[in-house]
Amino acid sequence: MFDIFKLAWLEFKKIFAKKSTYIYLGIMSLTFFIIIDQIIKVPGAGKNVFAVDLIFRPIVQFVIIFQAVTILAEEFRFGTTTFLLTSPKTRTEILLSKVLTNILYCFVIGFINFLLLAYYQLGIGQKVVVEYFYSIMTLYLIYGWFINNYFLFVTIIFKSRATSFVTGLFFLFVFEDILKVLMDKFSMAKNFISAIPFDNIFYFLVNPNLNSYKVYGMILGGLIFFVAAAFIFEKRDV
Amino acid sequence: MSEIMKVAAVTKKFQKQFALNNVSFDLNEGEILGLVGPNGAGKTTLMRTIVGLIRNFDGKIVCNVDSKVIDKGNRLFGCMIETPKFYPYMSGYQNLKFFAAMNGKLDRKKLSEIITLTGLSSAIQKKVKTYSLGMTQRLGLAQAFLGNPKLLILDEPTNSLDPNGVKIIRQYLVKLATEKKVSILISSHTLSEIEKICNRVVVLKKGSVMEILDMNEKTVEDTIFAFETNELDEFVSLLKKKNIVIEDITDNIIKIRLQKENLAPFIKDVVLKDINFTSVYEVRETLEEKFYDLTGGSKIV
Repeated sequence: MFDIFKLAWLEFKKIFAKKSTYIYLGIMSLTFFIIIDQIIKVPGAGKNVFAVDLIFRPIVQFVIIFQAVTILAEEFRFGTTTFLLTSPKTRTEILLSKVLTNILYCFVIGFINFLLLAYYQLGIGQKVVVEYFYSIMTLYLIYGWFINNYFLFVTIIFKSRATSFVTGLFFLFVFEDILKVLMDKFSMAKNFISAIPFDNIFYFLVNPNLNSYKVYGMILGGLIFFVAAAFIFEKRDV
Repeated sequence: MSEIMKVAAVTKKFQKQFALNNVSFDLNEGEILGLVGPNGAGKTTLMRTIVGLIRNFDGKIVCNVDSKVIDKGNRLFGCMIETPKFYPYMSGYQNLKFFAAMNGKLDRKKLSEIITLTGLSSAIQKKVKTYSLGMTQRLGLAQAFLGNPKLLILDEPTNSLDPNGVKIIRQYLVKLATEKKVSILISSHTLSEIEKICNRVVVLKKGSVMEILDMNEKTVEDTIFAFETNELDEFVSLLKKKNIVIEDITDNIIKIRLQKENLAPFIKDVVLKDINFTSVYEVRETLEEKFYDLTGGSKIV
């Protein structure tokens, strides 16, 4: 088990061996700092201390999704699956380490989110509330667990980064719409239906509406997709 | 020699075509087993099946390795299948470190030795995207040698290497087999290289094993000798009298089948009959000739 964390750390270092990672995160962070600088100057900006989240999170989720797809798709793209899958690690261990790596990446994004929030709060003369750090990280952990496993599953089927990204997003939209219809029709079972992770998935980070149903739904949903992904990957010829 | 790997009746079908058809052979400890065949014969498919990249096949592949040998830092096998691929945005050293760490233990001294052996010392810190094909091949070999494997599966390892590189790798493989008892399965289209280092050779065609040739086999059967002579008629007449089998007559060279111990008396007879000849030598069927006999030429199958 410890080996999987070691492997995840190796994968994480690999992500940050790419110049493009620093460029994406750097440009993203700089852009938001500049935007927030402007928002701070707007009269009444203090009314919504979480304005930064309304701007940052809808966009950053696509950064997370892109990384979720890339971490496996690039192995197929570069052809490194041969060396990866002939190592002593099982395919399931390799997949799990990639999920853990991406969750760690989500934590990096979450940390940037926290810094932006702290910068905004200081800008409007408010005290930085450190407690937000834990709630932000928990949110990214839950979201990251589900989204990474879902897109891992999609990438194992399609292999290509572009196809997996587009197809995965498409089905997220479709499932979300199906759930909305179901919730209208079966209002009694609203709680249960809303626990299904696809409900409100594109606004999850902004308005998580977390209750225990939702948390369990996201964890279980992520687990189901991980098991399905591992099952297919173990059986598949590469 | 104990058996380290057994391939038993392995069959792999892609849609309606058999890529591998009932392939069986074994690999012993410290043995170098060659795998040859025309393009499309199934060599790479077989290797991919052995290393576990292909999971859906019929038959069995069993590796018998003493579990004591496989511990942290050591792994069952090292492999290089087709053109090796690495992360282009990382240096050769970073790539090797990554794959070495995946094997459980990073032995920097061993890594350094392997880098020196494969001639990559000056280029190892450069990004892999700047490497030539030959350099990538060397890095692939370095990756295969990581982790002290007991079994090496190498698909055309000397492809794109310069002659010096070929010699170094050949010598290292022989050293691994003889001194460290590493078993090696190696495929190549360079039959002369296979002939130099392999103990046995599996000849594949259309996914089936045509024959397993023993390169060390010393036969007590007749050997073929070639005589170069301008007096062919007299020579043939003598051969007919002695009931000696004529294999071939081409230009002034006549090939006959004779037991080695009968060569000296025969030469004496030729001299006594006053038949002149300019040279006599043993004709060995090369692997190339055997390959063509078994596979019927170099068509893609």
